[in-house]
Amino acid sequence: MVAMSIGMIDSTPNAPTRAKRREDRVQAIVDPDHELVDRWQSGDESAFQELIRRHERRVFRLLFRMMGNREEAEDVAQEAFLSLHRHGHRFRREARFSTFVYRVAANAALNRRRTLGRNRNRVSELKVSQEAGFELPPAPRDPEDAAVGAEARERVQQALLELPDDLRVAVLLYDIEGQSYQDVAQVLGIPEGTVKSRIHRARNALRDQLRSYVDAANEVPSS
Amino acid sequence: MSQIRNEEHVRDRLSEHLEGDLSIAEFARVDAHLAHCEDCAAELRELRATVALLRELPEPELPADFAARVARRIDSGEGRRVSRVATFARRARDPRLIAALAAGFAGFLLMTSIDLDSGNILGTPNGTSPDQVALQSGFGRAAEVGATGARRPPSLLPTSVANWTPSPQFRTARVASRSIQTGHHAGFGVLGSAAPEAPLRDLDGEFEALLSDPAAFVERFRRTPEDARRPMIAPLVGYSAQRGSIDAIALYTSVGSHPMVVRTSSVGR
Repeated sequence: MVAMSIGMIDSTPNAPTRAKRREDRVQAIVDPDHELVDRWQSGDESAFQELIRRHERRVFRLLFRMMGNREEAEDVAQEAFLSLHRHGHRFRREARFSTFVYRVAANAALNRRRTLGRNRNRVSELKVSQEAGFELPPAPRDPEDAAVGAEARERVQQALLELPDDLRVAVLLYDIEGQSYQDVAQVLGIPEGTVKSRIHRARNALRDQLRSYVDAANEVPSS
Repeated sequence: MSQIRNEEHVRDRLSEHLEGDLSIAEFARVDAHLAHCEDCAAELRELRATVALLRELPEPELPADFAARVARRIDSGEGRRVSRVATFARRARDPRLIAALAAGFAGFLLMTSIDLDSGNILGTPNGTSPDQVALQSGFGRAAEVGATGARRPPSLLPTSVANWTPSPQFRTARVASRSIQTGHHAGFGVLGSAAPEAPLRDLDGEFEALLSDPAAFVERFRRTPEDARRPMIAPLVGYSAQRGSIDAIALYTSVGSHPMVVRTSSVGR
């Protein structure tokens, strides 16, 4: 009965068709990459180069935090852009191009993590500590503070790597990349409610892993 | 909209409270609870501090020529599958994987010499079936591959490969596309190794699996250290990501680290 009712509603003359609804949705999206994507899909390769330059930082940032080391992140980022180039014709503007880029990058990272397996992940986690030095500011004002900061950053990255992949990618997209719940849901292809739940679980797990730093941050300085 | 009573803890709403992602009414109720529940208030502070730690992570430094590197790979027409295997081999610094890659490349060179219109290997008389040509010339091609160090006398080939009879589907396969010649060839997959005496009907089964789900088949490419210590029998797969279909297959074997292409054929649906 329910199915019949839905069918009748859809078949009324005034009901928007699926194509019309999609068209409305597409028109409602304001995408700063719209023009470049148009040019690229029309065969202008220089437009794709410009798209890479626009998105390379965010893709690399996400993948660096996902993979845990620079070499792996760069390799997966290259693969992501190659994949994007290869499958770009599938982008139908139902979301912003940046969301599509994140989706391709997140999938590339998750596939690579699955391919490499846990042994490789352990190696990657070790590399985190080796690479922490690259992230240090060049001239710390207070060496002691800088050392504590570097240690905290290293510990945060390790805690991220210890999260299950599905929680990590959700919390990275939301808390570091600043994507909305809706965007994260589109990137990962899951409902918004699931996104919220994963972010909440990820934050709780991180809080437990980072207890000493969290407690230190919450200490009220005595006057 | 669910109601939150003041006497209930509000832990499952703290993330949303932190982000202001609650309705005004719910926000007010959570706030009222936090005003008198030290446990929940402490948890909110901890969450806030956790998020702050995340957001304070520094921006990783992107290589300056990143876009140029991607552009070079695009210009070179590098395919995804090739890249994945190459990357894996490079990362692993595993000469056995590199040997497998060399074997695949040798097979690729062989496959690209197939005239995709007629299904014949270039330079052979027309009218000969692709399989006949492949069977007749396979060792000759293997000798050419030998120029890169892969030459081995046929006597070293596993008996089961030398006596292998292609399945009906393999025998009747036809060339289906120009994708290899036109540069759409996206790489290759190599099936894990088998002992020389492995029953070859299993290989035929693999071809069936390959034809029914090419992507899943290629994903199965895995070599273990144990594999690398054995002579290998494996189908080499010309895989077109764009078409989502198989274009050609070469069966090759390796003795030690030396690959040798022994059979090739083309496949069409």
